[in-house]
Amino acid sequence: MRAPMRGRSALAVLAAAALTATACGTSDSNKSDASSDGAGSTYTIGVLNSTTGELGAVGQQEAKGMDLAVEEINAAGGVNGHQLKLETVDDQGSVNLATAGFKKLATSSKVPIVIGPGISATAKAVAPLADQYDVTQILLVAQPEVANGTKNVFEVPLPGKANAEAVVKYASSKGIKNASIIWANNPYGQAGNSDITAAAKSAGISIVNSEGFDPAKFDFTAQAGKVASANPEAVFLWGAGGAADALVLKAVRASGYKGKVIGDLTYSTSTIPEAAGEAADSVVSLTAVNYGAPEGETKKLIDAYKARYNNETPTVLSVYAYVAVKLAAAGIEKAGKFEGPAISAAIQSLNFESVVGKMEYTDTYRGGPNADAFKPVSFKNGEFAPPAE
Amino acid sequence: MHILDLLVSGLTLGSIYALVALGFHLVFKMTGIIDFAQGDKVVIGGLLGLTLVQQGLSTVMVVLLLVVVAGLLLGIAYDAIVILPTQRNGALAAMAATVGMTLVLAHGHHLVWGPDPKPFPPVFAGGIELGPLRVSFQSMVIWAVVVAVGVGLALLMGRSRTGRGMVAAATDPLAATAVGVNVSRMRALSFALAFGLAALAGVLVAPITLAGGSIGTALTIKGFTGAVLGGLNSTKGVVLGALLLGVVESQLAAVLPNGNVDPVVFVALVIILLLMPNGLFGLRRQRLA
Repeated sequence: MRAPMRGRSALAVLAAAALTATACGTSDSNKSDASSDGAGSTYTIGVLNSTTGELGAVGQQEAKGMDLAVEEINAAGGVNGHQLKLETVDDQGSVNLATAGFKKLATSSKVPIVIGPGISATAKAVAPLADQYDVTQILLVAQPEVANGTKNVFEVPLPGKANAEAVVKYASSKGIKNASIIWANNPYGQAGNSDITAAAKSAGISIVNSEGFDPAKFDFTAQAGKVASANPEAVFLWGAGGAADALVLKAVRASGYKGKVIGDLTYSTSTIPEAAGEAADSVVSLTAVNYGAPEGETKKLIDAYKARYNNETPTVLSVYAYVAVKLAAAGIEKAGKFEGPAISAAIQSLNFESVVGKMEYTDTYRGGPNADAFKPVSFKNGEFAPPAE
Repeated sequence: MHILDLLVSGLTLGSIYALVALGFHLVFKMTGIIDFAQGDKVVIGGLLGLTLVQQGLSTVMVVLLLVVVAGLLLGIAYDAIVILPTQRNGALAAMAATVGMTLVLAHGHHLVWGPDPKPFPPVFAGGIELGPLRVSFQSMVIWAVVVAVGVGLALLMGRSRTGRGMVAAATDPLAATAVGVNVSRMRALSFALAFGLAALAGVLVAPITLAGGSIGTALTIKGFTGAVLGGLNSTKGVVLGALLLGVVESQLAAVLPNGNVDPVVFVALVIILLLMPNGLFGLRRQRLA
């Protein structure tokens, strides 16, 4: 009796391990042949992001934008006659897995260009490897300091500091003289708190209180109550890119606060009206994509994305990833060869125009566009809309 | 007035913890096992409820009933697949298996429903306003369910023949078998009830926590903390411990920086357990070996 029971125990453990491995592993379906310069062969671009784990939503949004961009490029004939293909490694938001994943892409798959990661901690861990392996890397994080000083690393997202400046600039334009900040207590939010405090000081706006919130929680009554009791002219919200952002906004309005609420770009996702309800109509988000009044290329992208993904509006993260692929394709095309250093040199010289602004890279600056590229967006009845005033 | 707002939100928070804590209590008391997948089972319940709502099912009681039935069946499967194979190796092996299941369930529901938390319509919309204080019906229903489940479990385990059989099976399986108690069936029933309770909790709390996402681990940690604080072996204890945890957390969040709340709570928990190893309201003499 004992032996069969042990067998069943082993079976249960193996089943659990198999399930977990299935959930956590590399995307083998995207595995491709090594890149080649031969005419008509496929150019494989490496992708390093988190499609599972606590920050899995980040990678999944990015994957959608990248897939759409690749489809569009391939439908238009590819790059210099080569079709594009993505080889994705899921780092689960783990520094160790991201480092191992980058090395795998650079040495085993031998890709000359990698897009991602989109999370600060993993991006910081792998950015130095790009120069070490002569691989071009396009990060999806909003911290230029990670890419500055490297030879091969670039960023697409508009810098968090520029987002903070845009939020404060918008508040100043509305005559705001004092404000509170509620910020996500993670590296992105902590940087946002520092940046927005500094920008407010420069703009003559006094910060009356500053409250962190844990994005893993769901009850923010205490933070909202503290802000409401200070009764500032405006509340600046700096989110984490998750559902907790909407719950914070909801709690601020539920506390009875009637002043202006101005958010960073995390407050420009469709989750905000879905989870915050009516409170969403009263937030103005300074964001990279002009969702409120889309025109030209922005409208074209949004329409294509909706057609591809069941009428879903692209998130800012999806758009950044979409732009990253377009930037990579433009760099490969200009370089004329599929090699890391050549692609890096080409990307730096492009002054690439995109739906989120112009990528003006130099030897010393490798971040995304500046504060002027942010657009104020709000909601009306659950849909994106220009701010009411 | 702000203190009352915090008290209401703290009671709701504590009630959510209590629903998870009662699951811990139920399994521990009836099987001697601590099931660390309890928080993720709550998340699964919420997602099952959301799926039914998205399929057009709008009658609250029908959704709740179907989700609880699904939870009971999942509990039986959970016992057969996860717990039963570990039984020859003792409670520690079973607990290790439940830790593994937290990963399997979390990744599993991410694969099926996606990693993003999803808005869940209020199960009971509206609320009452007492001056500037507003209490939602959703919160009141959660409070009421905690009381009802607590009383129900206390009666089941203390008064009913089945419940006493379940407790006996956990306390001394050999002796229970000798007097005709089917230990395996009792264990399966325990896990079925625990999953059913978690599924019910999932639907009730999803309008507040949202459905899905990565909240399972947080629910597990806070539910377990509340249960241990009050006394894992006492039904009244786990409810009071969880409520106390929710209220204290809310009040502390109003006076401490956000990042300091959990460390202060956990340090206080350690001190309390040093002084009162069975928790604030736990039984003085453990029934379980």
